[in-house]
Amino acid sequence: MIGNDVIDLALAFENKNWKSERFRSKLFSETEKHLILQNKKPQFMVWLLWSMKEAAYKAHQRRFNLKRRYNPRDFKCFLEKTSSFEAIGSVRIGEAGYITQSFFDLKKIHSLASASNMLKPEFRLFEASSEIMKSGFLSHFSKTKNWTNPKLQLQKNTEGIPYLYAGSEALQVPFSFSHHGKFSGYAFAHQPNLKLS
Amino acid sequence: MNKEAILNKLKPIVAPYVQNKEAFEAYNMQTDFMNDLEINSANLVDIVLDVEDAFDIEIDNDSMERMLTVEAAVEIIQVKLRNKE
Repeated sequence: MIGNDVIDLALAFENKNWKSERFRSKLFSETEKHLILQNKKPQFMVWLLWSMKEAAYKAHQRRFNLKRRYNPRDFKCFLEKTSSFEAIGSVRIGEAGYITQSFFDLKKIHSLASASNMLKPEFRLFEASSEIMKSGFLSHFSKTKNWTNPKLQLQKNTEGIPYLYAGSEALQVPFSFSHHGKFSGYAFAHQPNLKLS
Repeated sequence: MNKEAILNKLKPIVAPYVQNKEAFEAYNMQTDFMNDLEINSANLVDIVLDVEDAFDIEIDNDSMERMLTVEAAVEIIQVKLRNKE
């Protein structure tokens, strides 16, 4: 299963609450708070960790078909390797674990989480609306799978999770959408032998 | 404080984070913060903090987990206010 999360940093940085201990304690563990406060760019670190948690949350929720919950503190972030444009890490929730990759620059962060390293995520980030991003996803997906017919369509279930339909059949494709401020992104798992469910 | 009063006091707290203004016009107990009002998940914690300040209560993690709808928020606030008395 797969998840992704986009952060528009200009929008995120408008929020000054991160400076309060109360805010940080609702979202982050002691270890994570330490990572934030020790970093030269603490505000950036808040949003990097947040996007890792969100990406993992989306993957986790879909993987186990869970009801929605707002429990960011239960998702524990671990950073393994960070550079000036990328961070590799993992997120643990209970017994489950997710591998994360985050790409960033001064304007945005795009984090991806996958349930196993066997899933190779395909992903794109757009400086555009969700609608443009979604049509980008449909054409990227079709191209990757050489898909022609039946026509692909997106529909949400009652939990607000989107599913991909070919005609009237739901495809078992792990994918995820995200939108924040000026940016939108998607990720999907590359499965070479996809069949109709 | 009854549910109606909490519902009304909560409305202006939520307002700054609402992205779907049309859905906000129909604000009621059944309103869902993310699915209806399109509030970003990163802003839910800001609402929780503002609720704590406005009602002078503390929202623990177990309660925060469930605060996805107006109804859940109102019920949590009501219980916390009662426990304070």
